[in-house]
Amino acid sequence: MSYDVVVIGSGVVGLFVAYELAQYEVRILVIDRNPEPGFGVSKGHAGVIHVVQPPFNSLRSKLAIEGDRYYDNVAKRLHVRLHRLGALLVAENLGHLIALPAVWFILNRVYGRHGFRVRLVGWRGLRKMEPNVRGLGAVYVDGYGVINSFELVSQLYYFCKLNGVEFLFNTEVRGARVSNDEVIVITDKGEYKTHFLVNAAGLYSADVARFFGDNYRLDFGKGAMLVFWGKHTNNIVAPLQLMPSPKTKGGAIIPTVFGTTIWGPSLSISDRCDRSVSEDDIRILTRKFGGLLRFRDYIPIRAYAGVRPIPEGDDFIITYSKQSKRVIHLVGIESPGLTAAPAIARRVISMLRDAGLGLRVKGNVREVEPMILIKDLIRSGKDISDGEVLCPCMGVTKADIREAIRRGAKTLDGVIFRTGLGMGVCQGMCLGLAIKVVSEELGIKPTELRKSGGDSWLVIQ
Amino acid sequence: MASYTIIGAGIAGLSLAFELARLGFSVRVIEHRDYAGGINSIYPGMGEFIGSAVRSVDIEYGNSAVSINDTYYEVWKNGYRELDNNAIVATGFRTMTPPELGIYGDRPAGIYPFHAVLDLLRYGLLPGRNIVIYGDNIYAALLGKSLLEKGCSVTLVLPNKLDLGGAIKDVRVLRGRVKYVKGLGRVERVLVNEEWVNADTLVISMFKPYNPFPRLRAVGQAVIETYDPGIVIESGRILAGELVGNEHMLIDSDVPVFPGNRVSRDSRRVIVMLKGGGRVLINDKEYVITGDAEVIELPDTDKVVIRRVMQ
Repeated sequence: MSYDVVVIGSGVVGLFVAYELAQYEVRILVIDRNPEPGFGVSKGHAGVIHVVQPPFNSLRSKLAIEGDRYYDNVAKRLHVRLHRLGALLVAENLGHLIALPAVWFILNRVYGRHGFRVRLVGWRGLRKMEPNVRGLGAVYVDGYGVINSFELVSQLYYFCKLNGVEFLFNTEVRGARVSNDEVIVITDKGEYKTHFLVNAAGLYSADVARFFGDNYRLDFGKGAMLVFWGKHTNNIVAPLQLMPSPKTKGGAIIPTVFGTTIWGPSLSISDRCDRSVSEDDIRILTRKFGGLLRFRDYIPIRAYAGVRPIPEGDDFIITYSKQSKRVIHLVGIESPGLTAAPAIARRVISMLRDAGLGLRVKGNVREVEPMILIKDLIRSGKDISDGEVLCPCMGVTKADIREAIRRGAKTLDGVIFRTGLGMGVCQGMCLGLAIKVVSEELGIKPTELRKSGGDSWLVIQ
Repeated sequence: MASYTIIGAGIAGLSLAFELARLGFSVRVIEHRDYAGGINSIYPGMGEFIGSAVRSVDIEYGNSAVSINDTYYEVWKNGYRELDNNAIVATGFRTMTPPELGIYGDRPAGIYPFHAVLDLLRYGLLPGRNIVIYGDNIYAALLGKSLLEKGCSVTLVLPNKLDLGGAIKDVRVLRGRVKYVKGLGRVERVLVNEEWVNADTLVISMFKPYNPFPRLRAVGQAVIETYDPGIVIESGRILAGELVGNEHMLIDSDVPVFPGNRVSRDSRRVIVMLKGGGRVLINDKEYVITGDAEVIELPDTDKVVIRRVMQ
């Protein structure tokens, strides 16, 4: 089998590359080791569209600004929920308060010229904007966003499927080589020939690069997050840190599109497979964010962690293979990879074009319809059918499960990500019923259903 | 005359419905699941109460209450309607979450809230073979017994002292706290205190009262932390009296009291909640609360004062 482009990795970056390519007459194959798209790095972030990204002259800072700009159109076209809001860097003590004008000055110089509004907020102003936040003052930066990143992945995938992109899941790339005008990708399911290859393999991007003799060193950073039931703040809120220590760097209080709140992420060095959260991680988050809030008697519902690939030099690596321009590596796409992804994809398209890929615009690109849940219909007073509620906390019904499956969900997590099932305050009191209905709808036995592939079995008989 | 919708056909909802119907009100119960009784369906001796209530009140199974943008709806297969203030919450306990309980680690398949396992058993399914149940209450022990009867190996982890009254022979009991879960795909090990226990399943059976619809009145384990079904049933009767009674007495209390600061003169009973037990003064007379809550007959006075007696 022969393709024009093979993309390795169906995370948000790989999917954006495929999405951009799908606008052209190109034969595309996406390969992923996981059973569904977005089950790698993309599974474990906080869903924030960023603005401020030091160091300011880095590639990731530039691509984040560019990507942020694309998101309104992307969200509109793919019908993904995106809430625009601002970020507040809060001065908790007098020292920080004194430093505030200098922080404002720098951020305004860097981001003001890109059209982001940066302003100083006094004690009174802060109180008005964020009644639940303690602080003496803040710097406000607009242009941030929170997005339903699961919906984004799902809609990108669905768009690609509708427009002829082929996908191979549960497939591991074992090797690759360039010969004449072709790249041969060797997987555990067979060999695939392609004219061009895009390595968007996330945590495995350095391994894929090595097949072509390109060596990169990756570290793995773990970001732990604590999710609360309910909304704490109106904006993204973080304590002002003048000298961030590596352990407490980054993270914020984030109001998600689901009406929940995330504290985090923290950042610690880990290994590739470790998504565990320790008591220490939670202690760091509580120490950092707990003091910022007046009222904090919220129910913590879930702690989770994401793993990100951190490259040498701590900046995105977007480059041709040394061996051939037919191979493009995207190595170490860490935070703010979600924000930068649409910009990365456009850069990849122009690199592919420069390398000789002929791109003719497709005449009949099919658009995706929005994922409309039963609760959206109820909210707008429309008629419903198959409205049997499975998850009362999140208002997820049988019809929603069906829709998730129609759009490609094959595992319980695939359904959960597309519908929000079990993500509420009770953390899965509905799972017994859900496992029964999801497996019925998938046409498999409950014992065959998996949470997220592999040996993540759910029930026995 | 008012018509009531009760959310949840557990024993609190059934008791309230039964009592309201007896007093001549129009009442319907909606039940999210396809069976009545909720977590008390496994409580020994409750079958009779549940059975007779089910025969005499109008229950609609598969109808659920859902909050969408802070508006409350009843939703069923092919329709929905907005719920008014004559809807009453009887949704019972919620299961506590892992971070609330200080359980850290991985998030593999095989971590189930109590209610999910109860449903699985109904469908002839098992959550796993080698099960750790974490709970400080009789329901945890009863579920352990059911799973044991199905051939599972069960370890019950009790964070506090609990008198099980011999309810669960053959279940291995450990005193302590579940602190950490390990497993990539599926649960592999659970850390209890400092000891690793091999298990493929962790069932969380620690509960908290929870009212998902805070603008509505609630009854039973949605508002009262009690593990005594008798008190749950009584709360339904007390609320019915409070709803329909026309003469009320006022209560001034420094401990939480069900149904609140007003109770009907006819029933003259309240449930005093005091976790872990203790003593209260009611109009200068002392009462002992055993368990976490107790039903108390009030003296027939216009105003009642309840004060906690500090030890």
